Formats: sequence, C-alpha cells, structure tokens
Amino acid sequence: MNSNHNDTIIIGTGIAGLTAAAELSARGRKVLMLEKNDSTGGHVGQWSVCFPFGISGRELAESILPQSNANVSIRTRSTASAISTLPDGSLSVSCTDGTAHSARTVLLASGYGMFDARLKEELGYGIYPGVLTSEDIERQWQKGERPLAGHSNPRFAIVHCVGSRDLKCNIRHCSKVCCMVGVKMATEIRQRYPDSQVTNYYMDLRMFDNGYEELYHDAQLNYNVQFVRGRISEVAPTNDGRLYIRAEDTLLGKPLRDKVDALVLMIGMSAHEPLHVDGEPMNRSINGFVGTASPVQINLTATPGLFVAGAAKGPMNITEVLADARAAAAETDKYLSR
Amino acid sequence: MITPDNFNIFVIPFTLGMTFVIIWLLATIVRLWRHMPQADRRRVRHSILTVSTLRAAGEIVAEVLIHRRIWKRNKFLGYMHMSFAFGWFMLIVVGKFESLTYTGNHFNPIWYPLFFKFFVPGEHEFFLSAFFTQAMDLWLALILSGQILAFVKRRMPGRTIGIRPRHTAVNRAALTALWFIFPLRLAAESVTAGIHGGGGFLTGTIGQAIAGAPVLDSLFMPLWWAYSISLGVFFVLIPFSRYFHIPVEGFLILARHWGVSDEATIRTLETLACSACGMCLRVCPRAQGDAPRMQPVYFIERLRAGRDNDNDVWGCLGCLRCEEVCPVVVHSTQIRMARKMQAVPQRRPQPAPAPVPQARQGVDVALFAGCMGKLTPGTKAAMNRILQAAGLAYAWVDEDEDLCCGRPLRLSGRTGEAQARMDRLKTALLALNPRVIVSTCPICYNMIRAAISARPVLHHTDFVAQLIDEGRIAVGRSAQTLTYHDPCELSRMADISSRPVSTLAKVGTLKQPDECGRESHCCGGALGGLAVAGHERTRLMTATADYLQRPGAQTIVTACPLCKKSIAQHAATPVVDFAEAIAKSLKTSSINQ
Repeated sequence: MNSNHNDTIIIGTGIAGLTAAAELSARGRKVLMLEKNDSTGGHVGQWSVCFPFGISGRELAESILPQSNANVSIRTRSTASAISTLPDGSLSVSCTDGTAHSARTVLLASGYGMFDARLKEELGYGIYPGVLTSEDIERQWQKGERPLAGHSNPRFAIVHCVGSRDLKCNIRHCSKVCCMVGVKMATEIRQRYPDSQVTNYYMDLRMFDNGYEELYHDAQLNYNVQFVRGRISEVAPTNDGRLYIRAEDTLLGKPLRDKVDALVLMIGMSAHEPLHVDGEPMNRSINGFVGTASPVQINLTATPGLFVAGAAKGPMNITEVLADARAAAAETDKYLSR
Repeated sequence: MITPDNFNIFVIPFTLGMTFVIIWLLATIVRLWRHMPQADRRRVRHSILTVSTLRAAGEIVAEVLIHRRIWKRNKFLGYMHMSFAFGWFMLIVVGKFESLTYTGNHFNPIWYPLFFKFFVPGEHEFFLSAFFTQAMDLWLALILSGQILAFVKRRMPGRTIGIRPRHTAVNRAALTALWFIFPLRLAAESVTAGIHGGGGFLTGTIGQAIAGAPVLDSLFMPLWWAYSISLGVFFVLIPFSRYFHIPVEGFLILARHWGVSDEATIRTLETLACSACGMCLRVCPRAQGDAPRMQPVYFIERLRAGRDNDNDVWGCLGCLRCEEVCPVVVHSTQIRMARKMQAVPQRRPQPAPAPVPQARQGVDVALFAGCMGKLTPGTKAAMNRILQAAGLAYAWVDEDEDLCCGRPLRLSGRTGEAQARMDRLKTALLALNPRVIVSTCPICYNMIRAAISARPVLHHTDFVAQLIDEGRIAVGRSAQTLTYHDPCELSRMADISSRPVSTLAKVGTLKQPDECGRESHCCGGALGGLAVAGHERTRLMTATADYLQRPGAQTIVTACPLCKKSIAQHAATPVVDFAEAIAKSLKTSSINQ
C-alpha cells in the first residue's frame, strides 16, 4: 500500500494520539492513525467519569478530534509490530496484518496496559466474583450496568496501589492517577449507592494536582469515606457469599478484619512490550516504558523521526497527556519543516 | 638403616613435606575425634570391624580414586580427576612393591620408593622387574595425560567444563607445585635412563633419544632436587589448600558409613573434603549474574580460611542444585545454616497456645496452606473442589488462624523460634485428629513431615495422585500441553518428581524442558538468600520463566506457591498450581453433590 503522502503516522488513538493528530492537521500535516482496537478513544474513552471535575471519558475523547478531518485518516484493527528506517530517512511501520505504511515521521502514542490483577493472586481477582478492578467498574458504569444491585447497605473496600510500587510484582513505579481514581471512585460509589459504606486502603495518598486535595477532603467530610493506611494481606470467601479481608492499620499499628461485598482494585499502569525499531527492541526507561533520547528531549526517541507522546512514556494523568501530546506535535511539525 | 645406597641429601625437601602433612592430618583427625560426642565415638568403635568399613572402602575406591560421580556428570573432568588420583595412587602402591621386591626389606625409608630410579638406576634383573618398570611408566603416562587435559581446561574452560573456578593464592601456589611434580619426575627419570640405561616405554624411550647428550650429567642432580622440592612444597601447602580433600575425603566417607551423626564433625569433614572442583558453578543460578561469588566452591574456600562473609552466608537461595551435582556430597546449605545460627542470637520461646478446633474433630484430611498458600487462593479453591469431588471431610487448619511452619525463621538462623512455631502448628494439626495431613506448600510439607510421625503427612501432589489412583476422583484428558516445573523443595528435598508428572500426563500432554526433575531450575523466589538483591531475583525469575516457556506448552504447572508467584510474574504463559490443573480436568460425574 502506497501511503507516502502521509507526513506522519500516529500509533494509537487514545487521547495522546488524537490530540497530536488534531494539532498536526491544524498545521496542515497529513496524518495516518493506526489503532489496534475497533474504535478510537483508548483507555479514557472507556472511563465513565474523569476526576476531579466529573467529565465523561468518552465525551472527552470524542471532543478532541472533529469527526470529519480531511488531513487525518484512521485505520482501526491495525496493530503496529515493527518500525524500520528506510534509505531516504523516512520510517516504515509494519502491522501484524501484513500491511506496511511509511511517512517521514512516526509518533508513538501507544499508551499503557493495565496491570493484570490476577498476578496479585492473594487479592482473589478472577477467583472470587466480588473482586473487581477499577477498569471493570468504569466499564460497567459506562455501559449503564449496576454491579451489586441487589445488596442493601453494600460495603466496599477500595485497594490502592495494586501493581504499583510493589516490589513483589517487580514494579517500582507509581501509576500516579490511581490515588485520585480511588478517591473519585469512593465518592462515586457513595453517590450511586447512598446506603453504602466505603473504605479505602492506601499506602500513602499522592494528591499532587489541582483539585485533588479538595476532592479528598470532600470524600471524607461529605461522603463519609473511610481511609485506612495499610495494605490488604488476605482475602477469603465467607459462607454468605461475601469477602473476608485482613489488613493492617499501620497508623494504629493493629491488625484489622472486615467483611465486604465488593473489593475494588486500583490497578496500575504497566508498560507494553517494546516495539522493535530497525530490528532492535526500543530503548526503555528505568520503569520499562518507552525511553526518550535524553531527559530534556521529552518527545524524541533515539531514532530520528520517531517521536513519542503520552503515557507510553510512563504514567500520566489526562491533563499531562494533553500537554505532552501538543508538545510532541510541535516537535514533529518542526522536524517536518526542516 | 640409612646408607648412601638409600639416602641422598636431595630427598630432604620431600621428606619434610611428607612428614608435615602426615602430622597435620593426624592432628586434624585426633582433634575431630576428641570433639565428637560419646555416642558417636561408641558408634565408630562398634562399626570399625563390620561390613560398613568394607562398604566405605568400596566407596573410597569409587569416589576418591576413580571419581565415579564426576564421571557421571562430565567425562572430561572425570578422566582428569581419575588420572591424577588413581595414577598417583598406583605409582605409590606399585612403587612400594617394586622397592620391596628389590630390597626384600619391608621397612625401606619413606622416600626410597619415590626416588627408586635414582638409587637403583639402569637395568636390574629382579623378580618382575620388567613389569614394575613398565607399570611405573604407565601410571606416570596416565597422570601426564590428565595434566594435559587440565592444561586444556584452563585454556578453554567454555568448551570443557563451562565455568572454571577462580582459586585463591594458596590454591594457585599448590596447583603450580603439583603441575611441576610429574613433568619433573618424567625429566629426572628420563635423564637417569639416558645416562644409565633402563627405564620403561616412556622414560626409557626418551632416555635412549637423549643418551649421549653432553648436558645430561649436569642436569641429573638438579632435576632430582627439583622433583623433591616440588613434592615438598606441594605437601606443605596441602593443609592450607583445597588439596587437603585428598586425604580427608576418605575419612568423610568412613564417618558416614560408620554412622557419625554429629553435625559439627560431618560439617568440618565436608568443609575439608571439598575439592573445589567447581561443578557447583555450572548449576548455581547465581553464577551467571554480576553479584559477588558465593557458590560452595568459593564459600568453602573462604570458610576454611576463616574469611567467609555475609554474602556467602545470606546470599544463597538454598535451591540445592549444587548439592545435587557435588561429587563429594558436601551439604553446603547446612554449612551455611550453621553459620547463620552463629550470626543471630538463639532463643527458644514457649509456643503460643494453639487454636482449639470448633467441633470438627475427626476430619479425614487436615489441610495446611501456610503463609504463601494464603497468597495463592486459587490453589486452595482447587483443593476444595477436588476434596468435595472425592467426598472427603476436610478442614484447613489455618483457615482463621495464623499458623506457621517456622521455615522462614529457620532460614534466618532463628531455629529455636522456628521450633516454637512448629510446635504450635503440630498441636493444631493433631487436634483435628485427621487421618492424613496434607500441605499445599512443599516448604511446609518438608517441615511438617520432619515434625509429625503420628499421622501420614503428604504433599498435595501425592495426595491428589492417590485420590486418582484409588478412583475417588476421575479426571479427563484434553488436548492441552503442559510444562511442569519441579519445585526445589519437592524434587530435590523430598524426592517427589516423577509422580506429579505422571499424574499430569493423565490430563494433558507434557512438554518438559531438558533440565527438570531433580535438575530443575531455581524459580528465584526461594526463601533462603536474605541478602539477594531485588534485581538479582528478577534476573533469576526471568531466566527460569524463559526456560520453562521454551518447550512451548500452553500452561506452566508447578506445585509450590512460591514458584507459582515467581514464575507467573515473569512469564507470558499462564502459570497454575498442580491442584488447579487437576481440578480443571475433573470429570463432572465424579463430583459428589
């Protein structure tokens, strides 16, 4: 397939890819987008509500790139497998379906994977039906489903840092957004189930961005969400179909036991397997995500013409991704103008 | 009688060295004997004149001279060790008889057989003299062939033994002396044959070739001196180097056959009997990394010198692969354990009161998941399904209570505290009055079976296999492919490896890696090794996960919660416990509702 007329190929149509595509097309660049799934929007497009201001994830994703954009074409169900440099310095992206596409630049906006909660087997995900991940709940809510509909006074436990900052999983990095997602989800649960009780189990809460601390206080003062500093060590089923949990309250220095109806795991972000560029796996940063050419060249990889944007580089929240994608688009445009 | 016919001043270096090493060895043995408990001394006295001594002698020939265990692992290394040990032994024995036959005297000076060709040069006719001459050359040739291999090994370790150990200065000095001995003997005897005639197929032939050369006379005495000095230097270095294993290994074998049970004695003998052959290096998972060396060959070398360090003691995962291949069967893990116990304060607390079972006495099966079992609830759920299908009454003894087998404490050197935990667990298990005790963790299983003899104790792989064999549960075979990873605690420590595999073959097709069973790789999660850094563990786990995925099976099966966790974190292939693999294949008709 001859697609040499493209200025850039963007791998991934999450909010990073869409933002960069919007920026580049506004600058008159022709963009081809490759998406492995059936639809665009990435992870954010599947979130029901985004913190801290309660915007719908799908609406956010759909608002970024106008539907009919003459400069942008999108190929769904196209999984990029490798990138190679052509003799004229342009780049070729080959896909698992056998097609290859070339352009002068490639922007990697392939995002992240969700941590596989089954690897924290002690939390019982995939074994006990009452154990859900943050992703499961967001999707169910977005589809209009209502988990635990039959329960009166349902008790929820929200577990932070599942697959983040956990050496037992060989993961050192902080996934940044889950603290806030956990707080947001607690208030969301309290709104949707007014008779519910919610307890968050955290290691420490990193309320670093605008509006976060306020929502944390709001959750405690107005939604009566309990916060316990400690990790859940053990989950077992009870005879009445609930979950028996054991944890340590590290502020009181005491072991703690409880029975809950649902356990919600705040799963972290994990890096995708590195793409192969010119036959070699791409450089990775210390946390396993895509590495950049230097600490200050935040969007350029070691390969000329190959740029990277968004959470492919490591955990980011939405506003950070939007800013990073615009920066990457600017860098790409500058490179194309040379 | 010492006369000029059997004495020359050049024999003194050898004689001094030989005397020194004999005195040192005797002192070592006497010291060990005096520190041995009364019961063991009695056992030795009663065993000396029994068949066990003969058995020991047989093993000494097989291991100390022939090096059978090394042959089985590596023919190259086996031949090399055999040629030195057996060749030198035969030189001594045949030399003794040669001098005895020649002089008719049983009490020739200690150096006389060794320098026989110096004192009796040229051709002499005496009983079997031709045989002796040729035989002595044959043994010398055998040793020299081994020495050539040893030289090749040092030059090309990768093509012969994998990894070559790096020895300390004293060991290198002893090795240098050793390497001089036999070429010097060849040279001295050949020059002697060149001057006086005689000699066998080796020394005689060389002698003929160089006969008449003008330098021979001026080489004659210096070569015999050099030969004697190299022997003397080597013997003096023996007690301070790895070559002390030559005389000590025999005593170790005797002690084992005589039933010496004192751990300190056996540990000391094992420490001295380690030949530092380096076979442990090839199998040690930590030998591949950049971490400081702590394999038995290095640890014991330093321990002998009193310079073992924290990494030696705490840097071993205890996977036992080294002990599996050790030709001397040095239990280095136990030697490390003794060092750990010296490093931490020892106390023996009273066990906490055990939980009282709530009206469920008399179960068929008492199950114990252990601490790691709580991290793998999938295994527990699978066991519940299997036991329900078998229609058995069962109880998990640690369902609501925190019980511990004590192994983690034991591995950190706190054996007294570990014992208190085990006592509590034992009380709790026996309070259920079960017909059989089953643990889903091989670590706990090994601890429990060592502590409880009143009831059968089984690992769940054996127990489930038994349920299938007895027809209590039925499984169906599917097209799935499986790779079974043998946990170290199960295969090497408890010798359970073939039964899980044959049981799994009833539910799918096995694709085993080359090294499995008792040779299986370390998952990297083993409980020992408190000083193994996180990134090092990650490297070990990744390597083993990669290795297990090589056969390309759809599922990796293991039977230890620690292995399961370690491998699952680093493998793209799903990892399940043995019980999960069986529970998935249960025939529904066999589930009693």
